[in-house]
Amino acid sequence: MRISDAYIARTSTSRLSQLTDRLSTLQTQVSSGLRIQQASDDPSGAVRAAQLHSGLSRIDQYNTATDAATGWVKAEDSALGQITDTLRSAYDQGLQGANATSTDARSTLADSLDSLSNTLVQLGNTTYDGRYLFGGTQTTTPPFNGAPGAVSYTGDDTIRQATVGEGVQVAVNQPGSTVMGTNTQPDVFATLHTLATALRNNDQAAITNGVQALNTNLTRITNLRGDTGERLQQLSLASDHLSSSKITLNSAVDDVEGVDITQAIVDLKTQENLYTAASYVSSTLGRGGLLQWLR
Amino acid sequence: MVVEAICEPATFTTRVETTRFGVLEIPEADQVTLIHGLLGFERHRAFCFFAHAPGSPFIWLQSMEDPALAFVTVNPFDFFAEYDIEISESDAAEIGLVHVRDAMLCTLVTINDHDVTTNLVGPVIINTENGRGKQVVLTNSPYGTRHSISRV
Repeated sequence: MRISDAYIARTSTSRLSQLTDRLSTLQTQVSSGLRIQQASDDPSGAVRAAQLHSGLSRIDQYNTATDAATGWVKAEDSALGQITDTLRSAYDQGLQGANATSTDARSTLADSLDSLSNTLVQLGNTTYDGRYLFGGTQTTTPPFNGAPGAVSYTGDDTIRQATVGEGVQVAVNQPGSTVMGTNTQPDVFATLHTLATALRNNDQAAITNGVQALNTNLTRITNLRGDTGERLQQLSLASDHLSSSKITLNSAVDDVEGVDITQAIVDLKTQENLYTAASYVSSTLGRGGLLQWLR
Repeated sequence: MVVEAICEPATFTTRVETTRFGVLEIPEADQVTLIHGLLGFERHRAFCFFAHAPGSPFIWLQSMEDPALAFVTVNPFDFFAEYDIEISESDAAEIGLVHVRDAMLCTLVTINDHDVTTNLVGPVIINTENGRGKQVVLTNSPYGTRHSISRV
């Protein structure tokens, strides 16, 4: 069957679409990137968007808390590491003292233990972000002070919690009393002092007991460090969870609010091209010619 | 996609959702069934036509099943008065086309940065009597897939 202009009859297919409206809507969408310009544009979407936004701001709050908590606990871990090292030195020196044969040697070791006691006081007063790590809630005054054998703890025993998610809390500190053992006798400082005294007195039995007591403290602090590690893990998991919740919420917001930029731009260009092409064609062919064909 | 028929005294129109133009009311006369769909879109059968704007030669071929699927077409005779094609009798029979005067042609338009072209070797033929149509690929024709219509 041959089909050419001479034989074919014209069929009118004129259906008007509200394209000028559509074009300006598309332009606004593309320039702002948002499909909801006013709540009236998409009321249920606007409500959902508002809920999603408040969810996002809660996540931001948790993120802030988690980051701060992570900083604290990392500092705690580092300080505990140094305390462990210091105690280990004291333990080694205690052993040396147990095996030493001269009074002078023991006397020197005793002095060294005194100096380690001062080091431990300093470590007990570690700060992070301008606040004392090991004072419980007393974060503005140094929790430990005193000369060897007369060290006191002025902090409290409170464990502070950070809220890192909906109903999820992680402890951000260990009180100094727990770390140094001031609430379990004998504590680190008393132990050091007793050992130093024993060395000066050449009291073999007391030296042996003293070294034993140091070992007990070492074990305790090593266990505490394990707890710190676990909390760091919890914080890391909380942070990951918050990140993925944020991504989920953000893409939900995007679905409700955002317009697919690529699609909008393609649509816009297509519409614009059509208008350009159409007006070019009209002007070339002459309106009369076109109208004749489009009836 | 929800298609509801709304009864009006004179004509039946169908409500068609489109992503580009919102919701349109399309009279039955402007609805077609492409019996094999379009090349590359064989599953889409129900389409409708509407002009891009009053006085515009561009006609949208909008899927009635997928709001996002729409093609720009033109009547090739608007731009190529000498357009002259031969379709096989079996093609004609498939859409029940008996009289040439019942045939309507539209050709798909491609728009890119430099040019607006139309595909003259794969026109869509519609039988206006029964609203059935198909896209045919012409063999042995001098036409190609890109004929410029921006400068006629």
